[in-house]
Amino acid sequence: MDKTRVLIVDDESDFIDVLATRMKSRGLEVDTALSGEEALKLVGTHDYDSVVLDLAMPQMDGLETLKRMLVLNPSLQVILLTGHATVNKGVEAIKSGAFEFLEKPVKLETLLKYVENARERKAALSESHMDEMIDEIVKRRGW
Amino acid sequence: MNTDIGARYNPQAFYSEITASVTHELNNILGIIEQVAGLVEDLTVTTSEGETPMDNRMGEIAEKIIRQTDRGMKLVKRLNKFAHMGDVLSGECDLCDVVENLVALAQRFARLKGKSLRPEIPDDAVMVVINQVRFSEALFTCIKRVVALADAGATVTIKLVDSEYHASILISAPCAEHDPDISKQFQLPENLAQIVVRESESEGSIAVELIVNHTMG
Repeated sequence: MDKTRVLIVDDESDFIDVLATRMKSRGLEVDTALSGEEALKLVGTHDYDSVVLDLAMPQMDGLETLKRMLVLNPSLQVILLTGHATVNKGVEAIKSGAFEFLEKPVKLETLLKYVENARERKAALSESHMDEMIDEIVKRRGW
Repeated sequence: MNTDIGARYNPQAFYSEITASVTHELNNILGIIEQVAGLVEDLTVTTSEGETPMDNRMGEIAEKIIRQTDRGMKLVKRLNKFAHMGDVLSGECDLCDVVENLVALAQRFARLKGKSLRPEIPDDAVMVVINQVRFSEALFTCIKRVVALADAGATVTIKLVDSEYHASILISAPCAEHDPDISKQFQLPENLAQIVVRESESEGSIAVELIVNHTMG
């Protein structure tokens, strides 16, 4: 099985450094970004299984970054992290297309479970998209 | 008061807004310490018996723990000072202390808007008789206003100057374009007879001045 590819986006450099180190030691392939703008560039050029995204960041916040990421890659699975979760923010995040909404501090094992679920969901979406494409070709060619 | 400057004035919202922001940041700090502690645990498990982990890695980890703990402790002290402002309705205090603490607590609001705050505070104490809560609320409102109007990436300066009868706090920042609509929405807390607010917009900058009489009028 291919390595799970994760992008961590947070303006706290200590947080992303340590989280990336721990995820890598568990066999994941990890990239990091300190801002929404930096993350969008990476999403535009790499295919991630999931993105762990901080909600409160300077300039472009997590929700805005999430919306722009999904425009670039609609099948992207984004886990939003926040220092202070509220029901309203959670609802807004899920409505905006987030896969999950978690509150900091979060245990690595918990986060990894969501990352794995996100990967499975993305694979299922890709498979269903592939089936649709095959059906389309079959119909078009009259096979 | 919401982060929206134009929102209707709500006296309790000031405490909520500051407390929510600081506890949010404390959660971020705890999140980092939690991960760093996990990393130490990972290293302990992966290091075989009798072998010690690389010194430089452990040094780096210790540095992160110290930095984040220090950040958290400072923040808790500031929040505690903020919470105790309401203990005395009105009394003598050092304005330098009050301004410095509030500016530090407001840094995160500025940072999230891609701006920063720079306090310029005299070395000598500026003693005034004041309701600290009302004053801090007015100062916070003014800071938020200037932050909202300041140019992207700007540094907002908060300068405290003392004179014979009053102290003044000038909040200023570079601001290339003024929005007249935002200007109409500026709303300060009520009952601030002791505090006079002057707003000025000169070419390329904005300034709001809070003037505090040395004693209650």
